[in-house]
Amino acid sequence: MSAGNQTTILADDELTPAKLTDDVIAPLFKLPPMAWHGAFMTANGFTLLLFLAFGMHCVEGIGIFGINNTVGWGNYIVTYIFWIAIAVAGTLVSSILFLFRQRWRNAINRSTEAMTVFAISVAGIFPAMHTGRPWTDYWFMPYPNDLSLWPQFKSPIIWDVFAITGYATTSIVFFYLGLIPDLATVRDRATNPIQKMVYGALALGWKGTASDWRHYERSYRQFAWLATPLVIGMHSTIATLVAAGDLAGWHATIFPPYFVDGAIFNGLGMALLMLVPLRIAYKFQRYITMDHLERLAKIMLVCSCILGYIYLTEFYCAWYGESIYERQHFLWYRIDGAHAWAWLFMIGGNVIVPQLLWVKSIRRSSAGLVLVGLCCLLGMWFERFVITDVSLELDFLPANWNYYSFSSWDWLILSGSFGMFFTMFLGFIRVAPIIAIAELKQTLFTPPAETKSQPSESNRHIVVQGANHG
Amino acid sequence: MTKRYWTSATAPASAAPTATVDAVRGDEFAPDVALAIAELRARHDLDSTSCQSAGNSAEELDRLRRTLSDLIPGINRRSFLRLTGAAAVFSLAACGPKHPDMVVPWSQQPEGSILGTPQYYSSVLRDGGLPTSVMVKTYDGRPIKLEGNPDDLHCDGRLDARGQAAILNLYDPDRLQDGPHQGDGHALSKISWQDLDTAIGEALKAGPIGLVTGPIDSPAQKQLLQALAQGFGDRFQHAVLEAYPRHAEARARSQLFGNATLPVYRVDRAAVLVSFGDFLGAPQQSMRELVDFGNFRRLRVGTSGSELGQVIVFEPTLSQLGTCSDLRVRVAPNQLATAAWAIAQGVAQSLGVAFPAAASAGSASQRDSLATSLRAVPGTDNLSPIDFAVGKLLAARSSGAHSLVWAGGSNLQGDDALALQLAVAYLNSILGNEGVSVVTPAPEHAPLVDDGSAATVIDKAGSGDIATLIVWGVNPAYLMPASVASLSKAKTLVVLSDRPDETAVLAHYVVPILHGLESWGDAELSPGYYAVQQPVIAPLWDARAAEESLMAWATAAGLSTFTADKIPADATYVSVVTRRALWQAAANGVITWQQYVKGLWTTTQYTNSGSAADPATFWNAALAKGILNIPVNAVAIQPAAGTLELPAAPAEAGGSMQLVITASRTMRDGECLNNAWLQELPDPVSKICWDNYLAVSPVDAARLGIATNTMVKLTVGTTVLSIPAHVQEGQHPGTLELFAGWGRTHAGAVALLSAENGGVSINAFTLSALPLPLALSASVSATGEAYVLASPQSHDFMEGRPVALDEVVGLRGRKSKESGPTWVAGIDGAAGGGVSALRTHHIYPGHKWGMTIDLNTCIGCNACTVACTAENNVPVVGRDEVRKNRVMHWIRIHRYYSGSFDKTGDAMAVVSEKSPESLLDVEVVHQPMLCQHCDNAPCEAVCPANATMHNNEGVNLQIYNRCVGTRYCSNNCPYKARRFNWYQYSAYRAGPINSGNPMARIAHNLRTSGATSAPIELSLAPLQMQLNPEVTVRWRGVMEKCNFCIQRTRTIHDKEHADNRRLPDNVITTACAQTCPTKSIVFGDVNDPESEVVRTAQATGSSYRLLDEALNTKPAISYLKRVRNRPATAEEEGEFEAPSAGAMPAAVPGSHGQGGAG
Repeated sequence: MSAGNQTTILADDELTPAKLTDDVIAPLFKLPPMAWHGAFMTANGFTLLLFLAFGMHCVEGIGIFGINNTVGWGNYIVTYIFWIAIAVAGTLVSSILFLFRQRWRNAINRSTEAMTVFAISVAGIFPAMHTGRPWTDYWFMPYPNDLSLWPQFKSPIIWDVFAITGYATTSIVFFYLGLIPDLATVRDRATNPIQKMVYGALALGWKGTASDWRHYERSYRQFAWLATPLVIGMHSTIATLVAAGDLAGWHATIFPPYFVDGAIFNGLGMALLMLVPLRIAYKFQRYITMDHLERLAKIMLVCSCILGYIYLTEFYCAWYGESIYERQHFLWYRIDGAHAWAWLFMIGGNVIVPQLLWVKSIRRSSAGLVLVGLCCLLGMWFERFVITDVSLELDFLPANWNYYSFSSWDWLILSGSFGMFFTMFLGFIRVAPIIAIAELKQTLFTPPAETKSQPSESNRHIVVQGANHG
Repeated sequence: MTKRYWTSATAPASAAPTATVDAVRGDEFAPDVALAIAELRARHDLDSTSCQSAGNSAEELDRLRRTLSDLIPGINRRSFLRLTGAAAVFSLAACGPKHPDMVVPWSQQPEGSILGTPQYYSSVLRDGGLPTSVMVKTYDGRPIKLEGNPDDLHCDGRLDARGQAAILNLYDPDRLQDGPHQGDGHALSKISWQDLDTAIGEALKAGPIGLVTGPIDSPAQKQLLQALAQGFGDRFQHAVLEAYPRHAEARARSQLFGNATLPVYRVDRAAVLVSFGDFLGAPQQSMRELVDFGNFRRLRVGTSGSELGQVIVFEPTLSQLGTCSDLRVRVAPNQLATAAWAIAQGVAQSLGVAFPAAASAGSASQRDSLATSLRAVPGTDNLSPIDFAVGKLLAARSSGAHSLVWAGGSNLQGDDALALQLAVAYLNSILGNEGVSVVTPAPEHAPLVDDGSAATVIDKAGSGDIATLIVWGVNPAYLMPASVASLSKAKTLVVLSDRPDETAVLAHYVVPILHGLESWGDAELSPGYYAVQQPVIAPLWDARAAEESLMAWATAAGLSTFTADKIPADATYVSVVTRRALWQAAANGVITWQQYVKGLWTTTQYTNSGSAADPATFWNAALAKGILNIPVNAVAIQPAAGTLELPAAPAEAGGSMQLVITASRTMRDGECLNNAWLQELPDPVSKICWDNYLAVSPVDAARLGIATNTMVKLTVGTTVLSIPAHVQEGQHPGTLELFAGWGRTHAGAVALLSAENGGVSINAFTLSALPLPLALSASVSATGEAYVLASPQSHDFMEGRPVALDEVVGLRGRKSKESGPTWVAGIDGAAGGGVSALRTHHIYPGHKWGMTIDLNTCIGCNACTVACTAENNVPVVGRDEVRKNRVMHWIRIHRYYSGSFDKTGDAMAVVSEKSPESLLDVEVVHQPMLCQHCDNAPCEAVCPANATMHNNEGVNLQIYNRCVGTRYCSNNCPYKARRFNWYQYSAYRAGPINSGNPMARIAHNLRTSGATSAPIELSLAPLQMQLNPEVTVRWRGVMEKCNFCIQRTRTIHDKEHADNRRLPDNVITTACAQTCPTKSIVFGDVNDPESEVVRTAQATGSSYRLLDEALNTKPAISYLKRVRNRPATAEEEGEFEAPSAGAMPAAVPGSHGQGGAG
């Protein structure tokens, strides 16, 4: 068995395809625990506050937030980049690892894909809302109009609009496509006629025939091929949104790889924060194993080291470039200025704390992973804050220098974004299988090509005809 | 009889056709209809009731109807019915409450007016204190913008910040709106003009009369006062009250020359200005001083080198002149006189003039010790600034030029400043400046000024020696809080004021007066220069000219001087806003103020002018031009021998600190405190707006633990004030500075924003009687409480960045050792643009607009900011929004301090630590900042909606209705020239709803005053009448910025098209360049190599384009470096190579030359 396919999920006597299906589907047909209710209501509450802030923004004006003439972009943009980056990691697991034949990803790809779709839903609202007149946002789209006025394609904002809409569409379709066989399974298991009808409609008449599977597999692979360049392009575009600006701290060619790497790191941190409690709450330790989490942690460690290198590169370039604007920004303000603490959060959360992952015991401990994941989220939010706002605060002409601070509405926006994300995620795990049953069965019960001829004693593979028959 | 068409005919229209005949009964028809009906009656021999249906057969009626329809010309039966039907509909539509006078048609087109085309009228304005001749731009009878009168030599067509903001005073909703009031000490109640005049007439008959006014410069007012004095005889006493009277100056000149008349200072006739106090921000400053100072400071590059007037300032606090000085010497307030006498001694000794014994005996040792204690002039061999100043004054004299020594700050006029004023007068006298740079007018040409008698008159009113006290246009209750007791005890107190101010609330009668733009008048701007004041709008509210009130009361009191034939009231005279009938003097048998002024001008002035035209033509010409010059001779001043008595030098303040009370550089005497434009205008030096503060020296702040934006406790005698502190660079240790002109309680809603809503507004006049003393003994302690002062600029140092550049005059033209960034001089001025290779893709075949800004002449006065605000409908955002850095000014002035802490040109430089001591002797540069209209504009590329783009004249435009509001353009603008509408600022008067919206308060005022029952609609009235109709009012969520006054530059196309020729330079200019008092900003077509903007950029060889070397933005604005006329320091010398023979700067570098010392 190749390293990529190694997994400790064992298809032994106890774990049959039917048992797998039962385990994963069971939560859908019974009342969730009180903890779920509590979490869901809390998330809902924050979501309501988010929309309260949106409403206030529309009624009063964007002035209710902390941004000002010097710092034109604030929480909306920082949090937007934060969430869109989380989406990137989901696509990494679902399509990039898929293309690299990393079949162990099948245990976690459903949850990370869901993470992608919900993160992108949250992220998508923010740039749309952050404009002064959100009701005119449709002007970003090229549509025939009386004035013959088209968007300006030179503007990185327009690139961003296309990158995000394209990526969001692909992710959502990809996500739904992967869900279809499992929805059919739920449909077949459902006893309640209404559930049967709803899941039946959503399953799009999936029968599990060979032709169904052939089309499914082919389209799944195609979407994976489509999503991979899209996600890298999408986040590179967001990096360009900043890098096309002329500010010290923005204007750097390293930004696209920097942002993609940071996004993967950020998203994996979020994935750890979701998966660790999820597997415990749903008793899925058997399916989402420590091995899975350790692998995610290893990828995080690599990303963190790359980030550290990039941070150093920025300082080196500032020193080497001899531009007084860049030098003062990096060598003084960023590390010693009014918002140096934000930079310290960023370095601490993104580079220093993740070094703990060199230790195997930490990589394999729930608490350790949650700690690293939290630090990663904090560090990555502050990384965007440092890039976006700290760069803006002290720009070219000293008389224009000014600081950015949160207003109370900004806190609603930030906390509300988490509320909205978790509302969607908690709702999702209530109504859909959180583990890709069909794909996991393929991994567990189909011998990998290179080991087919020599089945091992401890690893008995069961060949199944169709997942939904299990 | 009033004509009423259709009205009666419509009533029974539903019952037609009978109604048609029925309606005949009425007489209220158009003449032709009435004629037809009369004809019908005559033809059929009918009486007036017999056209009715009753009693007539159907045939008969039909016959009558047909005849009638034939008789009415142009109307047959069908069309008559159609019209009556339509009229019925329209009359129904008119049902319900209506404002019959709200719509006023142009029933008579005023002479020369073209709809939508602005009209300009000359007038006179006194909102800034001193009279200024202005041109008022009006749209359809609505004044919207003020400019200086270009025919007036004093202002040269320019206007300062307060003059520009005066238009807002006209439309101030807090003015008294509904006629005169009477008060009983508690509340005001309405009274009719008739009753008011009778009551005050009776009061005037009763006993002695006191009149307290501001300074009187108007010939017509002087004549009126003379007539009143003659009419009432000894019973009448007139006193002038000023916030900053020039008592010490008058006394010094009286003692020295036997002539107390205050002189006029002409700095442009001097080569050196030695000043004690602020020449630019002082309350005595008029437009003439600013314009003269610009000419004085403009760099002149000749074959023999670069020349410019030198400014040496001795001062305790950093003043506006201090920021523009070449050598600034910190002196404690009580040592100013010693410093002045030390200079006088040096000059006198060198000239061999007898030095007054009183001065030499008293404090020679003090002078010597002062000379050694002052910081030596940098770049010299330990030369004392006293000797430096002496040397410069003597050098100017020996070269045949003149100099000017000046001491005129608001706090240099008290008795304790007499020694200083004596030294100044003595110096000017022995230097031969009298008659040249110090011009003394004949007394009849000098304005009536404060002689200190106002307090006496008010006291007499309090003690009953004066029965009726009339206060006109001044505010003694505010300026002299001690006088409140006397004022409230006065038997009859009449206050002529435009608002219920601090004095008015104590009055028995409050009589609203007109704003200057609503009223007639005249002024003597300076000896022999007369200006006519004419109204440019009908009175907005029910008020009358103060002079007319005085004349009406004098008439009611039995004086016959001002009577005129009664003319019946004309109902068409109604106020602009309320449509209420206005006071009319003519209806009451009083001569109108207009007639009075015109009478003076068509007799006395006409005769004096020696005009060959007839009086009517003369008057019309004077109105059109606004200015009349009748040359008068200045009075020759000779020192009176041996009369000099020098008072003892003020004692050193022992231990405690010295508090200097300075006139607010924006608010002056607080008269315009309710003006939101001025409230939001940052102070030229501290850059703080909306609040009063205490300026503390950096050294004291470090010693006492005081930080900027914290509250401190200021103790003066027994008074303890809590006030926010501002650590002011350049302030002498041991000195505190507080600004007068704040702290009004009854100025209006905007001024109240300072007092309510957590703001701080301290009335400094409570600390001392007038005139303000040189300094008060005070102490200060930190409280640790935070208070954030609103300021649009948060960082004051350039930190080594090449932003606002300066150079030392002696090093100009020398070659720099630094190879560093090369500054490209001038604008690429060749026709067709495209001089540099990088610019070939930007081609501007027609005009290409550009600007030069001379940092050397910029005095930071903010006139450009207010002019832009007025021209471009820039909203006010309020204190909280300014704190959040959301000020909307399209052009603002950055003020940078530089000093020993600067590490210029060090690319490794990080922001330096600055010791408090290093902040004491800072040099300052003002840099106006606005959209640079870059050819390679960073904002344009990033806008997703094409909302910002270049036009073919090189102007970077903002298209508001395309803007979605991403703010990427602003982030990407290295100059941060863009302004975002975070809220619906245009609906706010002084700030958004969540920061203590004054709108509600104004609405409340209006409702309680009965001005309207619909306060929401009218709450901004009449402020929106000021809006420029040529400029869009921006909505929230869109970006806005300077667009080089596109509404002005576009008109050039119409003119060029009409004339079929290229317009000459300077016909079109932006609002900021138009008003800049020192001509620091020049706007024009850079495609025209002869234009002033190109010539200015090239003339001195020291222009540069900001950030162009770093970003290649190719701005359309060139800055000319600030030139410092002082010795170069060793470090500065070190940056340049040794001079070679004849290495003077080329006067005119190439069109894109490399001039400019790096």
